Amino acid sequence: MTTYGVDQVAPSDLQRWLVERVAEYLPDLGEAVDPTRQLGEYGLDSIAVVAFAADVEEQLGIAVDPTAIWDYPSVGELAEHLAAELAERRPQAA
Amino acid sequence: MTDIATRADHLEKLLGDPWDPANPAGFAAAVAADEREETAPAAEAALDEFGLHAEFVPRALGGRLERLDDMIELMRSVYRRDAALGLARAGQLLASVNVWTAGRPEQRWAAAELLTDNRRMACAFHELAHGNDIAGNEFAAQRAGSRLTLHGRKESIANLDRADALVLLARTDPADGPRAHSQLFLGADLLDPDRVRRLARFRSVGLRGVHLGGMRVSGLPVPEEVVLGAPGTGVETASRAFQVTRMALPAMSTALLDTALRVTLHHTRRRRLYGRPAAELPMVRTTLAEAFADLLLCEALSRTAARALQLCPESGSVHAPAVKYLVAGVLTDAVQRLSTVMGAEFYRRDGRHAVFQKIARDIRPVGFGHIARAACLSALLPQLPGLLGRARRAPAPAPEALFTAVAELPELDLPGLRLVAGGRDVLAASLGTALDEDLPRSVRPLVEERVRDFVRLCEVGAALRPRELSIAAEVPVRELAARYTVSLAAAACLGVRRAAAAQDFLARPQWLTAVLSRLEGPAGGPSRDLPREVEDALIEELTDRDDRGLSFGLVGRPYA
Ligand SMILES: Cc1cc2nc3c(=O)[nH]c(=O)nc-3n(C[C@H](O)[C@H](O)[C@H](O)COP(=O)(O)OP(=O)(O)OC[C@H]3O[C@@H](n4cnc5c(N)ncnc54)[C@H](O)[C@@H]3O)c2cc1C
Repeated sequence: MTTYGVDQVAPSDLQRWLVERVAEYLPDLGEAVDPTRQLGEYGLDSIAVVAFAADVEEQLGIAVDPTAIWDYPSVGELAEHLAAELAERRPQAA
Repeated sequence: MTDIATRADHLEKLLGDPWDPANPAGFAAAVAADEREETAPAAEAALDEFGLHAEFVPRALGGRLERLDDMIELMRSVYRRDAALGLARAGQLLASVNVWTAGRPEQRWAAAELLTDNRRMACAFHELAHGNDIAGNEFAAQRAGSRLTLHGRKESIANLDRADALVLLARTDPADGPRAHSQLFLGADLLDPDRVRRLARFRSVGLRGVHLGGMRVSGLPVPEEVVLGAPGTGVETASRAFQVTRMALPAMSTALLDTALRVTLHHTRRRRLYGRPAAELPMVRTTLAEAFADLLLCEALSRTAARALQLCPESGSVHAPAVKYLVAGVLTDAVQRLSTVMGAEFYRRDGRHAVFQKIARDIRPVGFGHIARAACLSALLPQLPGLLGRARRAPAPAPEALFTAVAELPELDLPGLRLVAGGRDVLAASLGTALDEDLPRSVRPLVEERVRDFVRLCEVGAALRPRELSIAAEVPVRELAARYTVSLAAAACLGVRRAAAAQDFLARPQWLTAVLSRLEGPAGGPSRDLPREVEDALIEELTDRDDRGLSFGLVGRPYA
């Protein structure tokens, strides 16, 4: 299993990882995902959002509902949000 | 009113013997009402006398809803007589679950008071132009100061003409996206006739007694307080709340198969052909036994899923579409096969068995109403890699309380439901431990086969590429989601047998052999023939229950 290193909670690291991960879900992607652009603009449909959320949850080990992606719809915003969540959960995770 | 058995008996008595042609709430009255595209007034009156809508209201709000499995079982008393009567009443749930999930306290109390007072609510989500794609809905609520102005059309809405309140899905943001819609909860008195044009009633093939209405709204002002939950959360609230209804409505519909089977048994036991009752012809026997097994398997999956929503609510986003997909498919096929042994009697609109043709029409919407079976597979598919990965890594026995109606349940927490399961499905994870159990020798090979199939499914699932999981998923990939539902049904049946009391029919291996053989069919290839001894045991139980006036489902309770 590929588990994301939970030590790396810096938003920039998370962002780099999310950019790579989300690319797997996007058909016909020519260039790298721009972290400031809305994922919907790349054609990430509602079903794929569910898959992406489940995938991120699996790899980070924290609950990630599709609503997180609805509310933080660019990779940059999502990375900030998840980093904050991870930082909050960390003491309990031990 | 007290426990569920007492409530169910009371309801059965109020509705009376369905076979009695003089009963104004019986089958003959239901068929006659269907011809008029109505429901039988005496049956409606009996349900009001019982205060049926209180069964949909949580106890904390003064109603009688505590356990989903109980509510479903009670509603089977209604559905078995007339599915139109059943849906028109259970339709109250479609609207109210959203209010229980997202409403402010005063909205929740208003809905509760309305329902406990036998009044009605309609759920106006559907727009003909958008079908299952509710995120595409256009009906708009535009903000104008402290008010909202409504514009647009809603069509084929059950009970719209008789509703005292509506829950409505409206676009509150013109830009597309999952936060573009909000739900509104409003009294029907706000529907100013100058601004709301009622559309002619929509007519349907089955469930003809359900009034399907529509409306065209142009510039109707409503106060801001009608918004249900935070603005923009309309689709999200529905994704939580409809986990209840997407499993509960198909689960109630198993009672249609109960009646179809009862009518077929009634007919074929009395009809003499070639010097013996038709029910003794091998072909007829097999069809009856298989339909009985299908009923038990549908109820086993629905019972387990309904109980899981209270015991392990994190898996509701998986179990609800699984129940809708599998149960709707099995029920529709089973009624279709029974119609072949009913022969010409199936085609009659009069006589003692006329209720059969009505059921054959009424059962169809279970496959597409509320959400299409295909859309359920689309909802399951993106969760598969996580579910299968975890089931493979962490097999564990499922809690016994999932499978037996005897065990108490924690309170239903609707706002706490999740939109994804995060890979957690205790039912699927239990399959990996099925072979460690003390299984009756006769069923072991069938269980081994189910477990092998699940292991193969896990392997394929792990290899799925993220891009294959979108709405445009190819058919063979979508079939994996169908196979997952079959695995869940097998796990549910194994659990129900294990948890059954020793002297119960459900503790015997024969029904388990039958359901596992039937499950070869739905997505894993042709179902296999039932061994003679298994068929005998099923027919014996079925005939005995018929003689004693018991229901044919898991519970085998007294039917009036
Ligand atoms: C008796 C009855 C009562 C009803 N009561 C109400 C009510 O009270 N309130 C209300 O709002 N609505 C109600 N409806 C409407 C009902 O919910 C609609 O039938 C439903 O929304 C489906 O729309 P559709 O059948 O037009 O299918 P469409 O969405 O047009 O779909 C057509 C087909 O496309 C495929 N498809 C659709 N979506 C997907 C997907 N995601 N993935 C893969 N394939 C897909 C499926 O094969 C589907 O059957 C009622 C309907 C009936 C028959």
